[in-house]
Amino acid sequence: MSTTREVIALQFGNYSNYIGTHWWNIQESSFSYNPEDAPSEINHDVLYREGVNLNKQVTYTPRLLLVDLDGSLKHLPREGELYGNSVKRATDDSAGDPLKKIKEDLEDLSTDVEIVQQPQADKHDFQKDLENPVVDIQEQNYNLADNVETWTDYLYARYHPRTVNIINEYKYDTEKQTFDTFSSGVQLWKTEQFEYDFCDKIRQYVEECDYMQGTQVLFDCFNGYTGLATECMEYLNDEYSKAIFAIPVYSPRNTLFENADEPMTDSIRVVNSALAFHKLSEQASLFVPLGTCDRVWRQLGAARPLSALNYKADNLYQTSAILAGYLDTITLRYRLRNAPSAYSLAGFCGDLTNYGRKLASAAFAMPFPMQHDMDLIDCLDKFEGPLFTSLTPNCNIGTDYIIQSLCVRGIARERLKQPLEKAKEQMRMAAYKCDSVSEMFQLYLQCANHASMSHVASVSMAIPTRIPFPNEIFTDEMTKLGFLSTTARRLAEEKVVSVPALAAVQSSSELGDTLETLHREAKRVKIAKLHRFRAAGLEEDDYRDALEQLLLFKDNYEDNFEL
Amino acid sequence: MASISLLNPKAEFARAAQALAINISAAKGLQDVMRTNLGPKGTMKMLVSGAGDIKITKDGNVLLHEMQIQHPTASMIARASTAQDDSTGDGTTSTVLLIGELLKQADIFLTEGLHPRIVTEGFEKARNKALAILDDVKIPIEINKKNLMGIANTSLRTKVHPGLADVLTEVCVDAILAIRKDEKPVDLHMVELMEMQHKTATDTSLIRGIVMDHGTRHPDMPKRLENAYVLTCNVSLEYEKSEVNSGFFYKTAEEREKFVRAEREFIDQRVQKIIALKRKLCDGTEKTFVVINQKGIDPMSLDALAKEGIMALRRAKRRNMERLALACGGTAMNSFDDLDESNLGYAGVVYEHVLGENKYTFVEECKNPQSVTILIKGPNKHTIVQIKDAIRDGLRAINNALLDKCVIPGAGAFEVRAYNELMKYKDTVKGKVRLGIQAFAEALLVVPKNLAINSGYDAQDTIVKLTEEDRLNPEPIGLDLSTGEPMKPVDMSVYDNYLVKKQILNSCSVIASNLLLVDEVMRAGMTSLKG
Repeated sequence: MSTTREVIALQFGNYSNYIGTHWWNIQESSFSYNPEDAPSEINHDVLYREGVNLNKQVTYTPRLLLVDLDGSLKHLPREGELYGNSVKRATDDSAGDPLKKIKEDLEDLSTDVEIVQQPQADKHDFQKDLENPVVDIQEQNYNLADNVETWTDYLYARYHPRTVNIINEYKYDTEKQTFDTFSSGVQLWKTEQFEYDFCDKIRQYVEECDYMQGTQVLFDCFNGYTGLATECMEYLNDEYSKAIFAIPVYSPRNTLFENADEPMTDSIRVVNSALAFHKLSEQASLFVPLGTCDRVWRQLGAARPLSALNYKADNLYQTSAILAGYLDTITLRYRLRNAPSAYSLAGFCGDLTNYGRKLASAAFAMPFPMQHDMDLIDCLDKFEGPLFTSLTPNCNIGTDYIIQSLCVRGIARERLKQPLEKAKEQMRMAAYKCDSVSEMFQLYLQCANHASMSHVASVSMAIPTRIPFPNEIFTDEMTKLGFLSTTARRLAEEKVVSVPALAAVQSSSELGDTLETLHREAKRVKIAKLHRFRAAGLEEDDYRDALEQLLLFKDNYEDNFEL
Repeated sequence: MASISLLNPKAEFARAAQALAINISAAKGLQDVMRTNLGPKGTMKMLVSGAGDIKITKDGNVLLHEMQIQHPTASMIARASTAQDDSTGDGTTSTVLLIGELLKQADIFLTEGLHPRIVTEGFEKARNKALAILDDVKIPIEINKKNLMGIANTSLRTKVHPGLADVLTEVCVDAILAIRKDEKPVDLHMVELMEMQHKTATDTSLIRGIVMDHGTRHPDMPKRLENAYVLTCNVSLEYEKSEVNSGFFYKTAEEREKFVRAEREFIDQRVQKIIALKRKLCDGTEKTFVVINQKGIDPMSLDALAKEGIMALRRAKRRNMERLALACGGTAMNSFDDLDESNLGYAGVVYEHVLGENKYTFVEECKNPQSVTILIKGPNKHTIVQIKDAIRDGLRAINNALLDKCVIPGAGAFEVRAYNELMKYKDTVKGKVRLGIQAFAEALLVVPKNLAINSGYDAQDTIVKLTEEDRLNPEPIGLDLSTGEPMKPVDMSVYDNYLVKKQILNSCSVIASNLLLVDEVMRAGMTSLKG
């Protein structure tokens, strides 16, 4: 009997789907189809399910439901391509147009059929090449950073027909955001599409699971998806009472809302965030805001600098790849094969949320800055400054009195230290006693962070960075395997195939400031002047209550505590 | 110059005649798209999206939803039509056609200088008269299968092709009659719609019981049981690893183990209660036992149940709990504290059907099912969706008839009668208002006209024939679509819902009047307002 502990993934919103797409791509490029390989340390069954389509072909698809607006899919049929039910239009006349065939089938039934068709959606070159077995996509240069229009352009993974859910009420537009307020998201949840159909899809996934651990919810935290996602979490709690790991994300591109100028857009974002954070503090088991900007409340701040990475601050395709790398690493803790039971999603959330501190911050280092010819023991010994960069907007890395959970990946056992006979200097270090990567990190963190508690999981496999991962963000001081080199420079045509990384979730008193700044900004907004919130059903008193609750929630982070 | 342009120089606006022209052209445009779909002989539309998604439909409401309507007037009309669908489930195409036609007819008088206000006054008078006529022609009905078949068939034939419509009619009527108790209003939610991508559309059938879209999850569980007790419950049979499970909270591994075992035992006790009841009732008899749970059942519990030959389903739909209790009898249990035979339901046969990766469980041969399932079949997704939409409307049409306790003769008969009566009525009214009444009367004919056109007959010819025949007959006269000749709808069992017609008359005249009275259309963004 298998004891896979399944997780269901939900993605709400366009930027979340950008991140999600990268994430599923990363996972699929780490699949091994060689039966002789040792089984992977990662148990992919946690997030994937096996199925059979109508042609009796076996499918392996993410246990995922995603939501986006009408018009964001471009070439992708809503039902996906694995289970049929959409037509591929003929490119030449010889094969016979499949549309005509359907039409003829219907005309047998003595009804006239009129065909109304939209022009065929353009496929990105990358997608065309995926269908063409002759082309090796790894050899091509698609320049994805500049020409990706939406996440389906670089989607490598294939989805189950259940997965894609489209909101028809609002239209996707790259220039303006139409789905604007928390309240309209709440209203949308009450429509039949979500209250029945979407919930039923969740139920079908849950029914298939033997030992479901919980759900992870990735959602856009600046527009109407806040309301939709938090309502969904409330439903999940009512119905299934399992752990919910929520990841609100902030897009680095400040797309204006419909009929709003920039200050107004900022106000709407702040109000949505405040309402969402309040709701998350009630519904989520743990929530970790993500974004590559250092500030997001009033004005979007500058891009966070990541060592050896060079990315464009407002490029959705590149920034989402970084966040996806983070997610793929941090979630390893509950996706490992043969993991002890404390490695479950509930355990992960439970560890970090003592005293009701359900908000935690994200920190990441990709690549993990290690010289290609150095051992981990020396690397950590010589390390100065913080290990990682914060990926939670308006929050700094905490140093003392913190609880954290780390995942290290891509550092092989052999790179830990030198064997006894060659050890020399290393012998004198305390860390030489450590026999595993996680042990050594534990020791390091004990020394580096005063009065803190850390959990470290480690996996030897690095993050695979094959196309469609943006390779151009790596500077040339990185080697092919993602380590740093001060001497040799990587050639332009040589690609980085994988990078080692270190990801962490921290619960520290720094988050008190995050909440306080949010509260301060949200309080300054005159909600009565934002008619769209009132129009969608938000009462002024409710808003004031939410802000007060937010302030109470902040108090959880107030006192320094002893462990 | 409009005053808005003083405030906001960027504002776009259109005034008076120009504004009216915008509204009328939008209404006409929408009418042109929809007119070919009216009636049983209307064409289907196959919509193909840029990505290759297919939708095949004849239903006005579905079409309106699929069309990306940008025009403000058109979207106002579309909304009226959607409201029509929400409240009655039928008549959406007629709504669009009638609004368009009302504006068109009014336009003729307006270009000659008549004030819109007078036209709308005429509309209002005409509407009141039309409603009175509607009350005159309505036929009170007895609730029996034949009458309901007539009304369901008329509605369904406008949504799917005739062969399929006949199959669905029978299915829908039987479904409603099965769940109807005495004179109480029918709860349509008690008809479950389940879809299976399998066989052909005409294999769609009524199951007098419940079909669920999931099956057993244990290899040794029975796949078919006869003569079964059915226990429906909402009790977790799943060991929940609680949050205090994490590593920090236990001093030793043994302590943790102990905690886990205690938790596990708690669940086991629940499973044992079911097994004890099963042994008491079934052992030594022919009877079998089925558990349908809204909460989860983990593999260990499934294993224990399978060993006893019990069939167990987990994570049933919330609404199915209610349906199961109505179909099989018994009550849905929230705890096992005092579980006994009276809580159980009964089903003659419970079996599983596997289709690709999907499993279906049929609960059939119930004693007195008050909840039933319509099993929709079709070779592909777009067929299934089309049938599902049609069945929803068919059920609504039957339900409307049950509520109204009367029907209206269909096939354009009411419109023709109303036209004749209104023209007579017109002469009794003084002043220019009568022109509005005339416009309203002419507009009503749009329905029989398009029925004729869609069936391949000449519109004028048909209208002349129909109105003449109607004047000679005391009974209403409709159009026989297969011959093009006048006929009596009552003889052919072509009926429409009273409610639907009433709603159409009301909403169309209001919307059309509003649109006529618009004298300025403006568009001004408020991008520069501070938040």
